[in-house]
Amino acid sequence: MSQSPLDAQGRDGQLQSYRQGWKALNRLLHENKSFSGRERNSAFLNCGADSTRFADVSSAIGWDFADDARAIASVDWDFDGDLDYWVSNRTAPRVRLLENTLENSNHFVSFLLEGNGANTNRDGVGARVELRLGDDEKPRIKTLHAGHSFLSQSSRWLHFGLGGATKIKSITVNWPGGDPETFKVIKADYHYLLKQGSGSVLPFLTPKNIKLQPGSQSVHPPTPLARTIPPSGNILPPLKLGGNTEELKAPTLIQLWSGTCPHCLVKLPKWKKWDRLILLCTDFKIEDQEKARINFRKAGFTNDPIFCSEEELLSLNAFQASLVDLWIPLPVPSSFLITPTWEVLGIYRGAIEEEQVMKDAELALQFDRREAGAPFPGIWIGEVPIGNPMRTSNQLLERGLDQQAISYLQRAVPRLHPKLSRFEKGDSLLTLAQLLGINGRSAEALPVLIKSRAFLPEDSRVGLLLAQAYLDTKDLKGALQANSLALNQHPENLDLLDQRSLILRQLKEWLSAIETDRRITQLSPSSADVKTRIGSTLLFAGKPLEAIQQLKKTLAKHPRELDAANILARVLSCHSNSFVRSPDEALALANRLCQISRNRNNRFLLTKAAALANLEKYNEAKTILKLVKQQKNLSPPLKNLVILINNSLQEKTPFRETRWP
Amino acid sequence: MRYSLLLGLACITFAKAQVSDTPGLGEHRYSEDLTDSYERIDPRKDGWESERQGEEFAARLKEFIAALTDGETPDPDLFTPNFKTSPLRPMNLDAIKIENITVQRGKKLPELLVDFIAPPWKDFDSAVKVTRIENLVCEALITIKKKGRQINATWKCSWTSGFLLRSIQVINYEEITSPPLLQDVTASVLGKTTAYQEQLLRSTDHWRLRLPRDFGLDAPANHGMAIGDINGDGREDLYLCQQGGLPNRLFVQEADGSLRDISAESKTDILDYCAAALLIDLDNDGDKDLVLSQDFKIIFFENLDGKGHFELVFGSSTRAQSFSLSAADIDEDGLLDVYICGYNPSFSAARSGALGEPIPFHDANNGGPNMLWQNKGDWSFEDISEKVGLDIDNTRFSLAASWEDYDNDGDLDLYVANDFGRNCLYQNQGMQPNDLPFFKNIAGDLNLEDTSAGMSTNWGDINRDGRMDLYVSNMFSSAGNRITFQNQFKTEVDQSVRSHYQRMARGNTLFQGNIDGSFTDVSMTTQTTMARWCWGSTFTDLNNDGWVDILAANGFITAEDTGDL
Repeated sequence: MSQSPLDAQGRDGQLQSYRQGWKALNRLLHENKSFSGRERNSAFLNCGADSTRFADVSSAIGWDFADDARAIASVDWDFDGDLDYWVSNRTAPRVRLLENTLENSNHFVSFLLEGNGANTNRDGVGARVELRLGDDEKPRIKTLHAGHSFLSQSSRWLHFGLGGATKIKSITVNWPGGDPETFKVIKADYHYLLKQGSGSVLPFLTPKNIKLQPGSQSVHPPTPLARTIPPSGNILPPLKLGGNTEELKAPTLIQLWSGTCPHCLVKLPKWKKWDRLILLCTDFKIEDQEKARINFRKAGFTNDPIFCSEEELLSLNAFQASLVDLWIPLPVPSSFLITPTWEVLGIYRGAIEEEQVMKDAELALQFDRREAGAPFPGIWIGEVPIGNPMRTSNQLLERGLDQQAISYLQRAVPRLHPKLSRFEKGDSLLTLAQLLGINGRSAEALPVLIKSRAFLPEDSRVGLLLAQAYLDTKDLKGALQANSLALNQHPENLDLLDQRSLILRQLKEWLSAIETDRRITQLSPSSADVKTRIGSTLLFAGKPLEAIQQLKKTLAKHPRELDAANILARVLSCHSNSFVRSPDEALALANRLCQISRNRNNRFLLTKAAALANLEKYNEAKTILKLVKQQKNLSPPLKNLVILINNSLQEKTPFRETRWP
Repeated sequence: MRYSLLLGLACITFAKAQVSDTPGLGEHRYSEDLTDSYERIDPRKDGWESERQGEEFAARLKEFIAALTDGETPDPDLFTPNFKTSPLRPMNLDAIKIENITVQRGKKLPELLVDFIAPPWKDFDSAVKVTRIENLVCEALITIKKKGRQINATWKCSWTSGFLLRSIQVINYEEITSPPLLQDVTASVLGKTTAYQEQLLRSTDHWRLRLPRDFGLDAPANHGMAIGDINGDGREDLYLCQQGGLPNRLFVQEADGSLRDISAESKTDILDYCAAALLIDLDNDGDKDLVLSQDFKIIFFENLDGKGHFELVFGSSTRAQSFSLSAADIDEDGLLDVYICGYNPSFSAARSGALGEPIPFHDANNGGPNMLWQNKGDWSFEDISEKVGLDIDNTRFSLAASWEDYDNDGDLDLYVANDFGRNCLYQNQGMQPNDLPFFKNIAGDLNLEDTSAGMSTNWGDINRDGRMDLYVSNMFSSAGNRITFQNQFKTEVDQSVRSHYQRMARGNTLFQGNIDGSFTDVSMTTQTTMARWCWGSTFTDLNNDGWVDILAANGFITAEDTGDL
């Protein structure tokens, strides 16, 4: 985790990698791995006047439980004159009450404050109590807090340990919103009520007979069996199921089993008797399938089992993980209860009883399934959750299963829950379109994008992706039209302007492209790359002198914009017009570029080779060109350039750039 | 014979297993860029070879100490032939007696001796943490313990490249003898309730595997509690916050001290994710009302009859995943106002990323806002953060806040602990013409920013000088200490940045309030930093001697695996 960017505006790549880092770290929390786990709670004893250093007494006093502990609240629970503690935990047991069994000769006093409820709050929260034990000592001070430490509120009783003192000389209460009030001398070892305005302490009749017994807490061991009732609208990933998928007429249980799972084999004969159950064998490896076949026949089946593919199994696994917070691989047996439209009503880890399945099947008619999904009754305040297919597609993408993410969204998008917001609906479509585009299926993306525009009419991303899809399908006019439409709505959107410039350049509309790029640099003066692009486009537009001016201006403003220097060097050495060329200046620039890049940048090396050729230093040029030729994986345009420069070196003629009029 | 017995046992377990691993689903698979990030999370794969060394050192020290606590002679293969050590229990110990607790500490450390003498630690338990490592020298925190006895030592160990111990220098030694003060009595008060048996005896991870995530569950499981007498019988009652899908629980204390679950009849069995609660009198009618910090909302309930029948009367969005609550009467109108801490901003709807996404990591300001809710009477509330100046430095992933009159000027100031940003001390500058106070963050001026992962805050007077001191929970990270103190750590930055990272791993902080209103960081001299990955912590007088002690709750995520980050 060493790559935190310094600010949100940091270089995109760095931010991206930092975000990936957090994503990975956040994913780890879902994967059942320890992370600073088994840590023991700590206690530090104040050694008082004898030493400023506290003593670590965590284990000696019995506090060092290895729980994942969270909040601590202190309270004299049994009114025996010492403080006890409630602790909440992440792990089981979720709470502990720790009774203080203190037995020493120290004394205490404890106060319950009561404000007048007019100018001072009735609880007395915020009141500062000052206790004087003798004349020579500073007052002992405590303020009544309501909510302190972390997620906790301790008892309202203000508890003072008194050491050897048996009497309190005076008590002053600084009431919030009221005048300070002094209370009279009292005896130690009692609980008292301090009522605002009364001036004297009142005895408090403490509850008696509070019986606390020490004992260990017997927590439940973890169990792999689980029943999950997801919210409405979660669609199962597509499965071939041996080809008979479209025949579902009523809720059906897709039962996963494996020939390697003893408990599955025990259950097979029972499952055979169920009506609406499809058995799906997870043994996707050919070498495992024979064993499954044999066991299947042993169980009385006459047909061959239906096997799922590895992709299907991975998709089901990602799907179940997307619905819960702890991501543990799906065991066998596991099952999915689905409706005829493949909406999932229940997910079961381990074998499930038919009776429970029958009951859960009725949930198909219910929109709010929280009651069935929660283990205890209670009151819900928030909105009813609805399944969103992006959860599953994200899981698939993060697992590197891009094709499965596409298939999943293609399956889920036509079945989007009507109560999802238009943003959620639009985003699902948009994600599908984007994935199709990235995977070279832009023709399929087009209709999806047009649909998503209905949900997200004002969203600039739709126009951007739509134009991109037209570009990918070589429909430049369509691209320009989609881009224009979106730009009308978002005239200052840099991505759309950038795209427009690209389309115009492909259409060889050089001047319009330059105009668009100038708009970008007005909106975003730091875009050095776009300024360079203007220089380059000016060359294509047949305006070399303007181009040179533009590139020089760019370099003056952005000295680290090496691309501008590279193009400038190229023009100055290779332009067909001799008025434009300035061979020495070109070589000087090329030399500097290669020096900066330590001769590792192929484009810069080629520029230098061309500049050398232009000065008839053919041998030196050949040496440089050799460096580039040795490189593997050159891009096609670079390869082409190598050939062209090579030819001119062979013929001992200067290299001339022919693309610029 | 022994072998076949084991086989037999294995067969029984096998037959009982109701599920098996699905072939082909064992390994986690990730997309390319995520795989890369995962690998960088593992310090050994991220260029920190010393982490592997650290594991070796820890393993060997554990083996060495295990021999001592087993009363055996340590394996000679662990040492070089000329191994030297200080006496592991120093000869001269200073003793401090605090009633029936004795604290003995080594004088004049370190001392080196030639011969090894086994210390009297037979039948103790032990723990080892390696906290520094450089050039085959490591520092390790050693705990040796047994009921009522505890030894805390720091050893500086030097090793050969083949991981043989060359020497041990004891650089810190503390020995505690104390009666075991605290005993777990939970079962005796909660044991009869179904809520305890079925809900509280199961780990968070049990529910995370089976409840829909949309209910509001996450890995950290930061759920707190409130104590207060909700039915006016003089006994303390307990309200417990829980994750989404599990009801919050209200337990009232019966005459014999046992607890009765009245969550349902009190209508406080809220199933939504809930972090914190307060039981306070919001309408000055003499009973305890209820405030909930409920994920992205704050919700107020009125105690209708003073007996614990509640009704929801006011709620609002907080625009942030909400954490700790802290109440005080800020405008001095006699009505309690409530401050609520905000973590992830709600627009990123990001409980899914339980850790948030702070930018920049060490000084983040892209969290959700904290809010001060003014109690306007008649159960109406208004967010007045902006009106009182609390909207400044207010989006730093806050987890906790505490009100205190730190400067003894008669009004309440506020300290806020931020997980990823610098902490804030808002000084109350007095009333404005609109009858509201104005707050100014002066944490920077007072060196109270404590730039580590702040989780909780406490005020108390540790030295009885009449000035409040401040204790802040952070994370003590052994790995962080091992890495950030090495010469090869962040060589490209200057020492101040390195110190910053070192500070992040140091642990909890104790600030001592001085008479002149300034604060001194006394964490190291008081030795109160090493409370691990710490959440709640509290000043409390454990033994009634009139000196406040510290309790700390810690540990992030314990799973069944043995590996640990």
